[in-house]
Amino acid sequence: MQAYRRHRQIALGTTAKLRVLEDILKAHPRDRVLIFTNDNETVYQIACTFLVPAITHRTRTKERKGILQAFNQGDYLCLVTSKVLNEGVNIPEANVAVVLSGSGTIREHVQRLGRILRHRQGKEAVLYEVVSKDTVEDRISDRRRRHEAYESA
Amino acid sequence: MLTSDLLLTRSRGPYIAPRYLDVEDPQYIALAQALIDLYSAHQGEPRQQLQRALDLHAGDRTDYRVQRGLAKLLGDDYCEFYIDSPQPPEELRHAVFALARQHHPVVRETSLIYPVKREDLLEQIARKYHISSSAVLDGLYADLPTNHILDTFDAPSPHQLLMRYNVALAQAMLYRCEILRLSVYRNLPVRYKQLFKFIKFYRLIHTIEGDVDAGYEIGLDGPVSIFRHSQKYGLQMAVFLPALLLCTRWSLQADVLRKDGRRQQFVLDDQSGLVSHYKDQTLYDSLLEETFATRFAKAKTQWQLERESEIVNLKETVMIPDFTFRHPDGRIAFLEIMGYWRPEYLRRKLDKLRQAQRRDLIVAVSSNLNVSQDDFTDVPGGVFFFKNKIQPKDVVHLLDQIEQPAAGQPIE
Repeated sequence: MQAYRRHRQIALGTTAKLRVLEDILKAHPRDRVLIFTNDNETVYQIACTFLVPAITHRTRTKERKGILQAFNQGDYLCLVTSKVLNEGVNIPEANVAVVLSGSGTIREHVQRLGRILRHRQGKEAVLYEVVSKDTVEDRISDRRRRHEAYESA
Repeated sequence: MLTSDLLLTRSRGPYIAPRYLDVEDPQYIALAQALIDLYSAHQGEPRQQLQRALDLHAGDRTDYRVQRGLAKLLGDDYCEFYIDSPQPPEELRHAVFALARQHHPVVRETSLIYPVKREDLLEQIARKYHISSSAVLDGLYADLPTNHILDTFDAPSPHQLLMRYNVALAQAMLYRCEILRLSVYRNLPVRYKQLFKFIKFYRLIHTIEGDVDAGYEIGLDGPVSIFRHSQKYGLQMAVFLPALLLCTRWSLQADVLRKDGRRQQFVLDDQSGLVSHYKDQTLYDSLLEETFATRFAKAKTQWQLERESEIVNLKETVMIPDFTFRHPDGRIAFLEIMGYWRPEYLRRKLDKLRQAQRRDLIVAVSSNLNVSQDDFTDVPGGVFFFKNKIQPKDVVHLLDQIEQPAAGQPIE
């Protein structure tokens, strides 16, 4: 049990990913970036590393509303979250999504995609998937991309 | 309290019972001691580090659910955690993120394009609040439970912890209980009173039959009954159990609904060896009452004192006064002692009395309480204050003012 968790942690949340994330953020200095990870610990690690607001199930409603509003208005350019923003939250301004880790479910992935693919005139959206090579994550990533959104692309 | 996933049970035919630990088993005593030591060693540190140490200790043990249960009880019942931040964390976050926005994206090393790095921003905030930049970082999410600091750990003995665990198992059985039948018999009136107080306090839906002499049969609606399918109610029922354990003679029979829809019975009685961790509040009360009862017996009056917990109907609620008085002419009166109560409880009690509008209810108020005569102006029954002892003559004086016929109609 312990070993399994450790094994997944190595695959899903390495420091190398933080370096990649920094590069992605540098590449999109004016975009609204949503960062998705699987576990809360990584969410807060990213929040403290890049000093960007975080939303998890621990975030109180009032603060959460404030953060989302600020993000949509451009007072914040970046937002890191775990699973809570997968569904049902409207973030029309987001145009870059970074999936640092996630489960293999297609639904979760499509929902996350949906966060940035809200249609608007002249909007171009980018989705990054950061995957540790040759780990369990390779397969997880393959699995979640079996969706028609990818087939047409 | 244990969560349902930490409840270990054993089924035998129509019965289901928790897997109680043998509190004398050296193996479990050693485990309890090891966990207690871990908690002691992590005082002043964040919960997260404690949790890592606990996980590490669990290792590959097969009884990790017992271990997690014990650890949870230690954390919930014997520890106090606090938020360690020089500034309100939410305010701090707001300041940090707003500043970071101006220098977006935040980088860890400076370069030609990015002249300001993360440490500089933290430093800037630190100066603003006159704290160190590491304090800024620590305070940023100090309000997250994983970052709460273990302040005081009031270490139990391994034996106490194992006893507490067994009670917690029995408590967890009640989360999925449909109906609970209790019999309590041959208890001191004060014990009954305490039990009823808890039933009312936790707002358990109940039916009560019986009296002091014969004992009481109490039926409680369980959390998975059709009326009350809620987690909160399940918890309330569970916290009630230790109050029952304070009674001397009792038995309990609960219908438990299993996840697969099967019903099983969970039985428990005073011979089960479970020991309540609740304080027996009757000790203080009983001393005061005892002295009063002896003194009243010597007083010159026709009123007879009965140590009977009659239940008095107060319109929407009930009250169980400390004493009942009977006069040969048929008059009945009650005495309620307000001795040692917390303010909010006291206020509620006063509201109750006002609502009741009963002239046959006398209230003895401790002068240690923060109330005055003015608080009782619209309470119709007699009120008097006492210092350390209740004087029988004060009571008799008020009793004699009660008119015939008695308005007191005790229910059941």
